[in-house]
Amino acid sequence: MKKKPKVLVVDDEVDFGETLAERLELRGFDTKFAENIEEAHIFIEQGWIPDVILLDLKMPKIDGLKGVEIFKKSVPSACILMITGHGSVSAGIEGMKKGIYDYLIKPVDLEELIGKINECLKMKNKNNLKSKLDCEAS
Amino acid sequence: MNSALKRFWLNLKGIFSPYPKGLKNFQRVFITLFLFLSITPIIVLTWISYYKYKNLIREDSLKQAHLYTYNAKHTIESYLNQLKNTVLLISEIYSFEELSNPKTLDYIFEQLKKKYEGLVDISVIGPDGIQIAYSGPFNLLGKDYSESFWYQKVLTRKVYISEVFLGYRNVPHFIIAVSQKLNGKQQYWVLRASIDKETLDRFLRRIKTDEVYNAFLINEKREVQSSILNLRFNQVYTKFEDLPYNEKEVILKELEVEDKYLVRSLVNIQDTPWFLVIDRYNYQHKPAWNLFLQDLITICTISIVLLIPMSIYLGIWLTRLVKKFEDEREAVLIKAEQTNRLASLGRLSAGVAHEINNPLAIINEKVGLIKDLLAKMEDIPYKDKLLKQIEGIKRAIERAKFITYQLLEFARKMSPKLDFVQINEVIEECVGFLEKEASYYNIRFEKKLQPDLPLVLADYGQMQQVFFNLINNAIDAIIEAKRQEGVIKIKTSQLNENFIEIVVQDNGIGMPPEMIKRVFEPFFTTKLEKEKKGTGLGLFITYEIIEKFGGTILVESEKNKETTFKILLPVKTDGGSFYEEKA
Repeated sequence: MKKKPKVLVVDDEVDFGETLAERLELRGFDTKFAENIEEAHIFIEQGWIPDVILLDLKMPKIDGLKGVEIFKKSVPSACILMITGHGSVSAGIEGMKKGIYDYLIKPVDLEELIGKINECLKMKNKNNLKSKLDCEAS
Repeated sequence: MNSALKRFWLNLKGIFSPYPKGLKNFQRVFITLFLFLSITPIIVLTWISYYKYKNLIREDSLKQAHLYTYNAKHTIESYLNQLKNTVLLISEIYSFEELSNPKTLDYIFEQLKKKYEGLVDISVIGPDGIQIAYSGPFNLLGKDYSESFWYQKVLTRKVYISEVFLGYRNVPHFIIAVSQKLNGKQQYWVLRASIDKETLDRFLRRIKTDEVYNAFLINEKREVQSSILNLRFNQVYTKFEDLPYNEKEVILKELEVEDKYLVRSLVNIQDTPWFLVIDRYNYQHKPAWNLFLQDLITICTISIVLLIPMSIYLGIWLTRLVKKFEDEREAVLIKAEQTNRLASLGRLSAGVAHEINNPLAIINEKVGLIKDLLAKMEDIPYKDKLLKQIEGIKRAIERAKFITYQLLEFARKMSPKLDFVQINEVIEECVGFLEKEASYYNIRFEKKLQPDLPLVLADYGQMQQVFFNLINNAIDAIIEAKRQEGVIKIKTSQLNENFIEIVVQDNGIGMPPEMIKRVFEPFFTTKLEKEKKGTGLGLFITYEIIEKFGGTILVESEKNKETTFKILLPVKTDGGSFYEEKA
């Protein structure tokens, strides 16, 4: 049986995050929802390593941009997509610089989001394959 | 001629009246102040020059009068001294007896007469005061002078020069008399020479030059002793109470006599009872003074005459400058205010969009989930109806999402796709799109697009939005004006090496000035209320987009005539564009 891709939704808007996670679950993803960065790390510490992280930009305590830096260290293999209600170009550019794959503006179209997640997964697989080949070659 | 005058008057009126009250006052105050500040020093300087030069020339005039009087006094004194010494010498050389001899006396008289023209006679008076010898034209032999004033004087003084008097002969004359002691006796005899009054007049005539108005002699009693050269003023010269006497010094006094400014000098003739009086013309009659006055008045008048139009011109020029700065300041303030307002609104829009987007996202997800769950369910009652309702909610979400996207766009939160854009292409596209609709209203386009127009760095879609808005507005304005024939002129050109200019002009309804000021404000619309055509965001977005790409948009309009939008956009150069620098 094919392994379900793991998607971690991190958003301080519980209603949004939970529902999005549930919808993705229905679409065949293994999803978890965290209200903030600390909560997200509980799953990671428990061994649940996400393939894709959907990260909100504006969050109390640790915001999305800072979160990107943290996730890049704790889960370097994860592909990060930023979701924002603010639609700030500069925040998007800043996020890109920090290594996010793309950013989407709320409210998101689920099909578009799934498309982005799939792009992310493809890129991740490509990267994994490349590093595997690199390892074998060396 | 009349129309020229009318034109001049209108121009003049135009110069002084086009400003608001404050500026008009400023102009008046400036002109008055400038005139005062520039004319006052000229008047003061003229006044000072006048007084300084007047004093200088006056002092010179007094000095000249002093010197002249002094010289004249010496001339008369030297003549009288010579004659006095001669008479004294004769009285010492000859004895009383010798001189009492008529032949000797006649001889001496003849000799003296040759040298002294005014000499009338010569006589010898014995110790008893009786004239014992006489040589001259009158028959005065044997006359008794013992009681005469002059006889008493000569006995006490040895030498005496008398005032002018008539005496026994009844002719005006004066005498020079010397007394000598008789040999071995305490008695004195007297040798007397009489001189005609004319002699004094002759001297005075010699003194009289063009600069001298009058000259004459007076005695201590202030009676005139000589002829008065200028007889017209006889009356004037009979009184000298206000003139002090000084035996040695020359006394000077300025006076005005019948419109004549004079310097009167008075000096005593030594050893005589006379005072010489000379009236010379004062400085006011000198050509140097007149010339100076003439020059001074001319310079002063020319300066003032030149200063008046100059002050007016300066006042007008400065007021214009102030008005220009004032207008520019006002424009900058309006612009700043507008920018500030727009920036605030931008921030507000972003905030609103964000706050709406989050709950909207929740609704979207919840509805999405319901739909997903419904899709998984087998037939349940009203399933189709429920799905239909969900679709309605989804459409509403899409609408709201579109609005927040728009708001975010106004707030410059949307990411533009920067590219090299050929504005001519954008315009052609927009015109092509709207041409058909415009033709329904008999509106035609006149395009003058510069073929080699430089590219600009911008977002193609947003540029489309700009020109779509402008052309759409132009069409609406023409429709509203109900023109028989509408024209939309579009012109592109390179303004300079940094900017291209795009002009969109229509012959529509136009706008009054108060409307022009608000045209770029959000939610402000000029379109007909009943038609509800305008959202009031078109020009606001246009303004925001142009500003975002480092450009400027200006509007000029006249009610019921035309409206012109001018856009300046920075040309993409090797050094990068405004937008890149900003980012």
